[in-house]
Amino acid sequence: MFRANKRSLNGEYRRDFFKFLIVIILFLSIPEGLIAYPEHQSPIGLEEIYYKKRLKNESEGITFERTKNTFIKIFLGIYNIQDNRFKKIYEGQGYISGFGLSKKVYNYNHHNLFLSLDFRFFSKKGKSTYTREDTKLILKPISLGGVYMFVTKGIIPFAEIGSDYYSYKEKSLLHSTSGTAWGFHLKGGILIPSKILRSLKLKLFIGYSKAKTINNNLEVNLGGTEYGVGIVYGFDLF
Amino acid sequence: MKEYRNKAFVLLALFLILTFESEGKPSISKGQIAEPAFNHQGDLIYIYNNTEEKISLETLKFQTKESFSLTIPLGEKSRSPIIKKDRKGQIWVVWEEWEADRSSIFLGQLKENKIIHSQLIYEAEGINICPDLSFDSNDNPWIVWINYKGRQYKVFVRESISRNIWLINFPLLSSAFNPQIITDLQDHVWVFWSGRDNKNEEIYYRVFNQYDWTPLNTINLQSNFPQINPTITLDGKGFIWLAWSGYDGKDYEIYCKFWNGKEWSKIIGITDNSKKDDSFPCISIVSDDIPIIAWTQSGGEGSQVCIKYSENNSWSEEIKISPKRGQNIFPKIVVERERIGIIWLSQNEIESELILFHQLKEKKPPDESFFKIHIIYNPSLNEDKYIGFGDSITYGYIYYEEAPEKGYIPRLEILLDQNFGDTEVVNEGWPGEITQNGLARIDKVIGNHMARYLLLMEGTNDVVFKRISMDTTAFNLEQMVKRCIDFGLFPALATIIPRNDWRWHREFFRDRIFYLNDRIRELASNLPIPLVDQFNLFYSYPEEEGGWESLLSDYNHPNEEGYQLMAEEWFEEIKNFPFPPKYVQVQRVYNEILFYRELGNYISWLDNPKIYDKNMIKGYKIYRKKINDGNDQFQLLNIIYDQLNYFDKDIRPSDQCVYVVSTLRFDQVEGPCSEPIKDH
Repeated sequence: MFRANKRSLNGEYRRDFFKFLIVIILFLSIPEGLIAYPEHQSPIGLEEIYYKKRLKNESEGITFERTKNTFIKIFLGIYNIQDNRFKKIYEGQGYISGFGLSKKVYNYNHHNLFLSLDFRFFSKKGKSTYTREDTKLILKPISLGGVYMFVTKGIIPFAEIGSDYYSYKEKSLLHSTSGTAWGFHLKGGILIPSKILRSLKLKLFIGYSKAKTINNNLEVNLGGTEYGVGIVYGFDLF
Repeated sequence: MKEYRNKAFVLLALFLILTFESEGKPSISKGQIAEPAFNHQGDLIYIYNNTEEKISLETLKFQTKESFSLTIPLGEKSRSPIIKKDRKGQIWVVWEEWEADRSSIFLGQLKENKIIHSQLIYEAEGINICPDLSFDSNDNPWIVWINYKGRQYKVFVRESISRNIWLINFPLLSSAFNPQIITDLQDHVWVFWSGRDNKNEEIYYRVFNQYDWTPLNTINLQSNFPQINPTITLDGKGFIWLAWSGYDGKDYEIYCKFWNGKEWSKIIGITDNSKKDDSFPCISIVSDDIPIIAWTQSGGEGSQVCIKYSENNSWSEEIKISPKRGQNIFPKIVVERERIGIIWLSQNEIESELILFHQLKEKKPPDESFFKIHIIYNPSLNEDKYIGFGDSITYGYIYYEEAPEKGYIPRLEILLDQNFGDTEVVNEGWPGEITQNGLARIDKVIGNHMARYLLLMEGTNDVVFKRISMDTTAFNLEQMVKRCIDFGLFPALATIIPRNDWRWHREFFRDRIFYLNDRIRELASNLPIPLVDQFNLFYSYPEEEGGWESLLSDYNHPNEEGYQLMAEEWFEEIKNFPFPPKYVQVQRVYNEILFYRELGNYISWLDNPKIYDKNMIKGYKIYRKKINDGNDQFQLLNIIYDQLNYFDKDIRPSDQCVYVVSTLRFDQVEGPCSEPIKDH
């Protein structure tokens, strides 16, 4: 049987894919020492204090766990949009999936600072409030955040704050809409290293976000609470 | 090396994850109608987009009217399939295949309910829609469609075999709709469409004479009003017949003309009225030379599918094909010799009619005055009150003695009391009454009692009087029913029981009873109202229990057992009355999705608890009028199936409306309306 379903990576998807690739490459190009001092140079000010303290630690044989400078992650979570109208139409929470990259930009002893770039996808089906017509909401948030990580040999706690760019689309026979919104997010969680492969870590996280937008004179907060699980793989890049 | 491996891994992982993303399906309109066709077995087939966003093939048996539906394995993004039969009888399908922001045209053959030899016809950028096809003398398909891109509508024609493609509406690219293609007996390919040249829409056409296309032509109306919806067919002589819908300054009318091989005929006006819009024509030919046109006629009460045909240069009266009011639109007609198949869209359902031409000719124009009655509405009537209207059998006679306390009326009242609570059944049986008397007194009876329901059983005495024809009796009964409906009563009709006097043994009188009962059954079916077949109840009473004669006390009147059976038979039908919905409520609300909302009136109701078997409910009819309009101004809004609510978004915020809801049975019997509910 013939099926004319040839929607592959062509047209708009090809263009989107190349844009996406450029962003990833730029992100990965961030050097580890973007805001950290280079180890072979003498720092000044506050960093000089840290530098001296580190030299002292090293002379006393105290070492600190060091993470890889790049993380790649995939995750799956439950996303609970807080907007009351969303709850009425889409009835509760839905799954959010995604992937992301984190690049270390600073570290001192246990303290590490990463830049994180996440791409997520959320889709949920609902029904209009009275006529019960099918409707579908698709969210594609892109998040850029700063992540603080307290690195230990065991569980690694982290906290993140950042900004989100939501691309949304609502499809229904009633009306179809698309648009974008800006927001922010707060996130926290832990990374649990694998005993077999230390570069691999299990990620548990919770988060909160807010992203208000107005479309067709209706204000909607696309943000909400989120919790989930992911797998993180670390490696050194550049 | 390790670094590169890491980078490659990252990129690969990203690529894989990216390809996981899935898009939602494009929405497809419900129940789009395609062209129908007759298959090899002479059954009507048609393809349409079903409500599950798939393509279905419906087959309707001509003889038995049985229908079969199956899903055609086309892609989920297939739309607007059109089927046409070539000269060898092979059925072809042409359809649109939609992607995100573009669509392509495909062609295939339908064989054993599968699409075979499908081929891409056109895939250029933009939206390619509204395909139509025809076949030349070698059965090569010719396809026409519209390409929309950059605000330009291009009409393309492709010869399937040679793959030649022509753009035929240049330079008039600002508008083009409804392209139609047909090949005449000289293998000339005719293409018609409605387009616009800065003024109103006009019907354009071009002809391919096997070498080249003729210049762009119009049907030369030079009208100041739009001319749209062209439809074409070929008669037995090879002449092209063209019908279309055009505005005449007051409303849309249906017009037609034909090409006699040299020139166009004068325009023939198929309709000419001032308060009805006539549109969406579809033309075909019966028996090679009788043009037949189906179209939609819309008025204040909804729209109906009408048909006219021309025999001996004279056009017939309008014949209403759709059986009910409501929205009946987009008719398509297909003819094979004398067989006529018509399909149309009715409230998001596809309905069909299969009829032979001579049967169509026998169809009488409906009694428009009756159809204007519409609804059974009178909120002041008592829902728990019934009138038993008739003669001595209704009054209660046993052995020719008055016995109203033993008739079916008190027995029925007991049954109703037991099942529905306190109910009153008024005895309005008049011994010896003929239907003419009944007709004379019925207005007073219904006005006096203010009951909601009337049980009508009369005619036994008419049978006796040879000067009264049974057609007159049936007419009188019909008028009584109509007066009930006019008053807002819900009537039920019963056949008359057999009699056991000497007349029964005379063929003349016995046939009168049989004939009258047939007319009563026909009347109940046509109006339509509930029928209680008391004759059949008696006549089929088992012989081993004494037969029907054992149910009579004298020659004419039942005994107590007979009355009890009659009461139970009435009750069995009353249990299935489409009682009006209860607890009807209306709220002015917003129907919302996340980024859109619309204001409307949300009407909700519950089934009447008196309804025993909810499976007999087909749906509910919603009527609306403005608060200051009279009760005769109620208009049908919609028929709702499988749900107990309706969202009326066709309102203005300042409007104040009144709604009523009625229950509709599968046999089209519509019950009385609910209490009126205001939206404020």
